[in-house]
Amino acid sequence: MSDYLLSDDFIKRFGKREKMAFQLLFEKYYRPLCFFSARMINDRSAAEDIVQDVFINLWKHDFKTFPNFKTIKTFLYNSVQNRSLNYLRDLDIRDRNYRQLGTPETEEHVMYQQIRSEVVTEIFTAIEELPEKCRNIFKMAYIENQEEKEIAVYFNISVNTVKTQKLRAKNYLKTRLGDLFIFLWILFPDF
Amino acid sequence: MENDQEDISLLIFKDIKHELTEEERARLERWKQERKERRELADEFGDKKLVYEYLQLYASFQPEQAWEKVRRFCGRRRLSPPSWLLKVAVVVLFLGIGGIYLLQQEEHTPQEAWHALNDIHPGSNQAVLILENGEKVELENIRRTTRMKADRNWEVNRTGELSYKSKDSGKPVAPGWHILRVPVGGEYKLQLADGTQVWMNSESELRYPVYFGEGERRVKLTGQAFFKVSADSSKAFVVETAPIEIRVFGTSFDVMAYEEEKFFTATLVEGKVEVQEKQDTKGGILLRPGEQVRGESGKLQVRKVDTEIYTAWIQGRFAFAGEPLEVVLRKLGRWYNVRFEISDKHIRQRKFTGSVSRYSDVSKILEMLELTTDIHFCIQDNRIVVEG
Repeated sequence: MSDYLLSDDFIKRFGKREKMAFQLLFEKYYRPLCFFSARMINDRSAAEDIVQDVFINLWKHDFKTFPNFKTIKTFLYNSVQNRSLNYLRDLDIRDRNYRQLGTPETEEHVMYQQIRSEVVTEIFTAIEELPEKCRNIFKMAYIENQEEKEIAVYFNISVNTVKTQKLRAKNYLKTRLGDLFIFLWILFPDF
Repeated sequence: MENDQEDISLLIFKDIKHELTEEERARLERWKQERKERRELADEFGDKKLVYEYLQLYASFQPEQAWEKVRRFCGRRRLSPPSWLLKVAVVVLFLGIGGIYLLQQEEHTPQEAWHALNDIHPGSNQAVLILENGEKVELENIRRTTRMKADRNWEVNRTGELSYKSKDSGKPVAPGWHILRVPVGGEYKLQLADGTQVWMNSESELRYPVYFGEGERRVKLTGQAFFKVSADSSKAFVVETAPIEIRVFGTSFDVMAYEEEKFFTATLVEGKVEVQEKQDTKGGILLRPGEQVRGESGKLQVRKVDTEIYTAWIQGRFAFAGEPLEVVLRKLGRWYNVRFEISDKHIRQRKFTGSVSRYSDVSKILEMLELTTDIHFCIQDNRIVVEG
């Protein structure tokens, strides 16, 4: 997994409070953290508020206290977790629906939520990383069942190019996604 | 070896893709065997309906919108457009995952490596200031070092912006004229003595007095600039170009009059301007906000336009609305300092619509053009060959 956030350069820039580094972190972890929180508290818009608060709070922190990326990630997940638990406590539903979180098993269950969130992130990223052209041609050919000729006219390209692109899209998706192939249409909610 | 949860997440993901090695499978199994809940968790991902629900929830969160909220709380310092930081942010934002490669410089696929080696970088904040006495001052990299001195009324501030101070009422001497020359691959912002702000695009030149005396405020432009004229009802502000003159009273508008283009445009964003052809004495055309006058082969034409397209460049974007490929490529050429060679005449007039960040390397923009048309580009040094 090549990941810029794991590089020394990122930590250096983050330590210098470069907004760019902060934004990259936000863009990468916003969804996973929201998902993580939403699964705990069962309220997606409250989850968004929690995650936004955590990032704003992180910005106020002394960034030099984070020697590596792992410490940042731990901080994020722990903060979201704590705030989510507080949220449940404040709602006074913790004892009713989330009794297990108060037991010694808490740690383990929060870990499951985190793993769940990370796996979903991986799946989503894999689908999203498909090149746009590939995705579009794939969508028209295999999902909308369009004739090659029509696709060629639509994209203003030759029928041969459509053929090659179709093949390329198919091979790419198969090797890249395996069974995830069927989730491709998540990205096209307009169907 | 102890498994951390990130490792487990990756193993489960690989399991979905049927990519586990024997050793990895064994590791995942050992982890699962320890607790019933772990087995249940790992098995969840075999349930396609459940995974679909997860992905839907995940996709429902919108980081872009959330970032707009969060950034307001982070730091009071506003970044001005020429700042390096913002450019990187823009590049990264725009390129997404691809942008990370620019910073990382490793693990390229052969094609990406090729791009990184041969790519052409965007233009930057640079200009040459020519003083009254003909002395040339390179403004690139000057920040704050040029404080206002007693004998002159200009300075470059910390964001790399040239500005002039209005003259104290002293003895009335005729003002000297300065020339700001922005080269190919440059852009620059300046503030004139009356407070008028001017964003200069690549390969453009502005002549202006170091302060404005009595009578109208007159500047001379070749190329493209966006003006935000400070209001002064007693003194008209006049932008003079080779073909036209534009007369304004406190307004903002864009003028494009490159010598190499067969047409020129003046686009009004707000206020009121009068556009007059140089050789014409009958009186000019009055433009209303959102209108553009376009001159081509001796004819002036007024039309309603989306002003954002014509002023996108000051926001750090290229925007094109049905523009012929050759015009698009000349615009790119001015900013990237690169020459396009179109081998096939037929594609010159092909119309192109789209919007893209000015601060990406050229390959990203060409990629977008390739995606939306059937033309192909080949980068050779500072020359790009275009094929149909």
